[in-house]
Amino acid sequence: MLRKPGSVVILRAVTLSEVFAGHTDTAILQTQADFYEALDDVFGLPLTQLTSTQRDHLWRRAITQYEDFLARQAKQAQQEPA
Amino acid sequence: MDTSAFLHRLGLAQHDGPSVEALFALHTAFAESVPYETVQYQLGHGGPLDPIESAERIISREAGGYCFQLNGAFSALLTALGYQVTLHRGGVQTSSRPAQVDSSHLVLTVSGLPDAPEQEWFVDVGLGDGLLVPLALEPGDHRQDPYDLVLRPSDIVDGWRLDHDPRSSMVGMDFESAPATMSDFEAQHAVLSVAPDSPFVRVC
Repeated sequence: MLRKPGSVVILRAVTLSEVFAGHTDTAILQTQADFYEALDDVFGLPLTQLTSTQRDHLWRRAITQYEDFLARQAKQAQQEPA
Repeated sequence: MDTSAFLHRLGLAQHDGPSVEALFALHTAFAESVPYETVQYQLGHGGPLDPIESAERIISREAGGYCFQLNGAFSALLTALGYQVTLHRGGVQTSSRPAQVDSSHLVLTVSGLPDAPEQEWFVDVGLGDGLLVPLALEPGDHRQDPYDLVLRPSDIVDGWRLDHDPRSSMVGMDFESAPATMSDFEAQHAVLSVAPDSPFVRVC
């Protein structure tokens, strides 16, 4: 997360959101390149200290966390009354 | 700690001594430049609690941090610049976590500014989507876009409570008035930064 003058930018797993006063913009980072570009350009974290193996591992974790989130959402939707 | 390098990392050319305006400028620059992040905990190595180590990683853009690291590093910077900084034990309330002060959050206050010697300031760059600028440590409603914030006396400790905007994932945060030291946060940091079921490890 990073504060901006009128908003907050949030990256949770691969979901990149920016919360403004009246609305929220959301995008799903589809590729490993997009993920690391956002970390660098938006959050100022180039993560150049990570090896390629660590970068792959981190990307896979982020994808898994997003898939787990989607699974929880689907399960919750099934349990809600029609 | 290289204070000049830290200021440069925050996009600030210089600091002309403690003042309300300078404190606000430092707080804003830090909140807008240094990310609240738990990416560092995804690789299973944990991360430092020591404020100087945290500051060095922030300066080198190796990491941002979470509350202990961000507020710890910011307290080290403020102290080096001549501010009177006090650490406090806090705790964050979420939809699944009750209000409690369990040292899971580190809060700062600043006092004794030359141009407002009687005023204390609530300073916190470690909440992620929390404060952009400090709040006077007194009850009040505040607008810090995009959120509405309320500071009031805590219902659960001798201290203060920040009620966060309903759109935040955080309901609020309580902290004690009593001063703390970094060692008060060692046990929580040891768990929160490495335990597989820690919310900071489960999701980056």
